[in-house]
Amino acid sequence: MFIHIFTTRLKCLLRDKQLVFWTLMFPIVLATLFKVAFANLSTTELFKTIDIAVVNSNYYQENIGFKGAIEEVSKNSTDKLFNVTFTNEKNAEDLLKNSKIEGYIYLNPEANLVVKSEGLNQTVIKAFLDDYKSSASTIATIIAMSPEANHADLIKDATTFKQYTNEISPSKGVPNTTLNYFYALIAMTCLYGGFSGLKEITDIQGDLSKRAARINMAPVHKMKMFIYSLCAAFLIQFTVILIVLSYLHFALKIDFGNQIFYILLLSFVGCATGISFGAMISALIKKSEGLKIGVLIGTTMIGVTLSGMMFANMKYAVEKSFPILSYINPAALITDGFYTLYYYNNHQRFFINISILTLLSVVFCLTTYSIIRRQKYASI
Amino acid sequence: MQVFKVYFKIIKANMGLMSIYLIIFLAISVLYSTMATTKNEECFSQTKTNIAFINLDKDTALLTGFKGYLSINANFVDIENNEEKLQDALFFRDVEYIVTVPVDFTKNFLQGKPVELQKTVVPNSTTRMYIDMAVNKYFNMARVYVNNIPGITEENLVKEVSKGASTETSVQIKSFGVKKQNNGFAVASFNYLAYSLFSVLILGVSSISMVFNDKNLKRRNLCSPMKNRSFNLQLIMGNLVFALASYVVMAGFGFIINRQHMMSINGLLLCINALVFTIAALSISFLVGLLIKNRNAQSAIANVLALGFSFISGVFIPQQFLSDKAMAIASFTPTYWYVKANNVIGTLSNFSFDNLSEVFTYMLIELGFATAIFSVALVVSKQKRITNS
Repeated sequence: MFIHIFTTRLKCLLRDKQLVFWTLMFPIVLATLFKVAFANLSTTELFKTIDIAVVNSNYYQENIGFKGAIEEVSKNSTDKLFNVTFTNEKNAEDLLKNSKIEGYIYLNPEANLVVKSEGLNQTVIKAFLDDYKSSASTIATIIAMSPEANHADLIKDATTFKQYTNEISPSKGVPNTTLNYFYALIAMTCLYGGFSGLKEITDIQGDLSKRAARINMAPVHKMKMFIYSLCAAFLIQFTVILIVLSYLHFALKIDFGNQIFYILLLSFVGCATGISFGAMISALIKKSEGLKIGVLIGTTMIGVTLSGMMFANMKYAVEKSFPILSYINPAALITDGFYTLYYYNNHQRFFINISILTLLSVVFCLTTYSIIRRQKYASI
Repeated sequence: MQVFKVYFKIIKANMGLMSIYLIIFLAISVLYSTMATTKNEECFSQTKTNIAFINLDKDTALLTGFKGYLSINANFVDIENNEEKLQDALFFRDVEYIVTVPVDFTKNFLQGKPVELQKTVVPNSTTRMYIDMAVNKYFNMARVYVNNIPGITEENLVKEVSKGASTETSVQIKSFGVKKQNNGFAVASFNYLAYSLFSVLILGVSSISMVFNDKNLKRRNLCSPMKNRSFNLQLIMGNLVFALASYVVMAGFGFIINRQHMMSINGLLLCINALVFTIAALSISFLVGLLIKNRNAQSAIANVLALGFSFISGVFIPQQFLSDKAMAIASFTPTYWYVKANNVIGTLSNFSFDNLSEVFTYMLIELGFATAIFSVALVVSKQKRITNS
């Protein structure tokens, strides 16, 4: 009996083109669009050598200290700060006007900066100039304060540069905000498993569809039938998630960390939550299928928006201001599960997410069960 | 006028689905306009980075001075010293740099021992570079004082370093006559129109053509004494009126929300551009309507086309952030040219022929798309008529 119902339900679900589109094709299309759209978003904050111009005046040629400083930061190395063009003032202005450079420096004899707008790169140029100025003033102050200081040593000391920072990174992953969009997208895919759950209920409740009315005539225990069909829905949904995950990982090169077992566990629980959620909605709302689907899409969309699918920082904002909301929102829990796997060194928060998701699935299933149990129809 | 009337009956029946897109559009427009801030770019002010400052050392004069100096370059964000909280804040860019002062930093520093601050950063970012510069500058200067003035007190050291660190270079802003107009959000709102209007048009127009292309209904209609020409003319009129009405509602709302910026030539150009785009979107919707067979395919295609075009054309994410590949593909859609024209219009302040010709070129391209797609649609519909009969 199991095999019969199971295979029939598999066929039923797979032949529903709309279902296949929304659960499988739509996430894939959306993920591709995300990839295309966010391709450069994370590279904008990366440092790129800043293009500047220096007006090659007599003041500049005479100022050996400043000349040295400019040469130091523009020589080819990994830390190259500026790409410098030496030119006259008029040319520099033209370059700035056509946005070929971020700003130009001229000396008269003090260093001055001309820029087109405010911004981080402009601020870096200014910081460099401030830096130069203040180290010159340091030397002057020290000589004034203790005239007996050895000048050669002082200048040598003042021009040596020491690093006072040491980078530590407590996490394995790079903090790349755009990843959250993809994690939220998988959460959406899991919850769209609700479409299958919804369909299973519609096809088993005699008052909801003709097919269900006919099935109810068969001498099979309803719970058995229901569990068998849920198994079919689950198999399909889990396969869908695996396909989407592989697409994201292999085709779009999205980084999930490398804890494959935990990723599968999370997808498994996520699927269960999605399907049971859809089943519950279908059982609760005894109206048209359109309304059920509307409610399912609506709640899922609100859920994934709060977990950052439209705007990644939304997830952080919700966690900060309404932490309770991120503990009851299945989409946020799934997204956070992927996030912690990628970014954290421990599994504490991951298992909290998994536990709450399991609890939610059980609650959804029990609610569904209490509604559909023992329903018999004298007439429909 | 029967056909024309039926057209709007069908639209009315499908209002629910379309109003979702309308509501989303209205909500987003309102959101954009409340987020808008007026920024004055007369004198240069430094860009500040959000950082978290964790001090495991005591509150020594050296560190207080350091913190005071850093506040020129950074905003301090209060975050609990908890590894996960800090990691979260960095991931979502609540802070971009976390600096931790280790225990006994000040003592060791003043004794000339090698010391280091620990930092957690966004790797290779400009902000990392910038804050690094500031931190190193402060402590390098302090080191020179400590080494060369024996017996300098901590208070004097901080005073001198802070004085030295506050020397500023004069910065001049040259805007070259390009007055920065703050109609960014009016542009954003009109860009977003490309998604909503497009979705509404596809849904509306394809609903109509699904009804009229139904085989049985079509045969019955052909039997009617109405001239084929009049029938088609009314359909076309219906399409135009529907498209125009959608345009007026959305552009009108965008206009009202951003009214203080729209009463200008820029505003007028935005409205004209939206109208031109409406025509292009209508022609695409017409073609899609011919190809769609059932209601399920309708919402799938409407979503994929509208979302897809909008994503790759820079409706949701500004065009300068998109990859070149995406832009190359997007240039085959009218949405791309619409958004591009809007962005140019947003920066215009001098309406010379040269500046305007760029905008008009983009509009012409949109119209070109409209004509090309409409021609394809005509060929398809002719083909269908031949195969059906």
